[in-house]
Amino acid sequence: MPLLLQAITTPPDAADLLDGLRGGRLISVMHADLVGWATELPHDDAAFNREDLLEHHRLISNIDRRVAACLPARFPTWFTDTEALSARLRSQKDQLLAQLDQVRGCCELAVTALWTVADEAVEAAPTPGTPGRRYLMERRVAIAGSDSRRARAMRLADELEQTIGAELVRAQRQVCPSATVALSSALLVRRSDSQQLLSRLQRTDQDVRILVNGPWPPYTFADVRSD
Amino acid sequence: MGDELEELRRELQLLKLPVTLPDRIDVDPEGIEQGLAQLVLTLVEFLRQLLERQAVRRMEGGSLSDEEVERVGLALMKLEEKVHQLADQFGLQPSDLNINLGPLGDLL
Amino acid sequence: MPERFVSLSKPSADDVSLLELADRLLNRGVVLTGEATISVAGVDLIYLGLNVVLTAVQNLKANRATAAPGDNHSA
Repeated sequence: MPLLLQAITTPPDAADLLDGLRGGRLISVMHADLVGWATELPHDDAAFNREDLLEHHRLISNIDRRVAACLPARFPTWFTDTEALSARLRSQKDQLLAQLDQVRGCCELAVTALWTVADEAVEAAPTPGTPGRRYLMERRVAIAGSDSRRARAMRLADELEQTIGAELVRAQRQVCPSATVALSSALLVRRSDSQQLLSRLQRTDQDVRILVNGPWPPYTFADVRSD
Repeated sequence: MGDELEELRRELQLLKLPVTLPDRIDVDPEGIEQGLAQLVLTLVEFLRQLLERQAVRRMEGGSLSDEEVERVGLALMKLEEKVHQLADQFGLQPSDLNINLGPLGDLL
Repeated sequence: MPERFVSLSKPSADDVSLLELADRLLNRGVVLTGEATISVAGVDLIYLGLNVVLTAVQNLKANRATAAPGDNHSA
């Protein structure tokens, strides 16, 4: 039976039962100190909807609570059968253990900073100069926002990371990924402080609104592929 | 992938990615010329946006001379006009080429 | 205009939460810039992965300069 992978983790503390996705059976496949958690389901991507995506997230979160370290799988990650998953655990053992080591005791916080005001540079008078240069300058503002916007976003990213301080294990940031979003950061932080951090980071400044989501399992800091 | 998830993915691309290709580029035998035009122009437009971004980055980084900035800027500007013109000639809307109109896109 | 799940010009906190989660959960598939499937008459024929091929010329030159003699990069 095909398997839809939820996560690869360290062995759980307790062996209580969990339900799988869409009423399928959740099974665990073990090799050395690795456990692969997956739902037995017929392989049918077209059937999946938003509810399934959120259910997948809930399942991973439940599993995450029971283990020391968890590597979430993207949706949908299929394996042909238990042998295939078992073979993956064997062949990728070292890489998976290394990844688990990195995320042990950690969770992910997702920071999204949205611009709340229009970009000043857009409102400014058209730039002087020759037509070609003017075109590129206009495109620069449209594409990347003004210099001041990007600088502001970078400073914000630095400041947020500093606020977390020693609890920050890894950060992956995207500065000005689009016209709406000033900053999108994935932060791997030690689990103990996460709730407090959330309230410390979330705020609205004069020009940005900072939204913090999580704590989540370490989605961004895991790399689990299908067969 | 279910429709709902495809829609989510599309919205995600619009929110966080600067330039996107459409997921699928269909060449339809019914309007073969138009289909091929759509294929070619979509790719051209996608590359044009990438080129533009790179040109801007180079200009900001100071590795283009004034003369290069002017030449590249003019070329990209003309390219943009041309792509829109060709699309128009083939009866294609900007949305057919997945041209992201940015904040304006929400108004249409 | 097709109905959207979220309002992209002024996304709510819940919108952002859902999209950020989706960003992490969904298989990279076509979310990365530069990936597309080209089909003819409804038949998928070519997968296009431009992200792999395109890189800034400056980066290429920089990488070549620092690459060790034995390095071999394949697409």
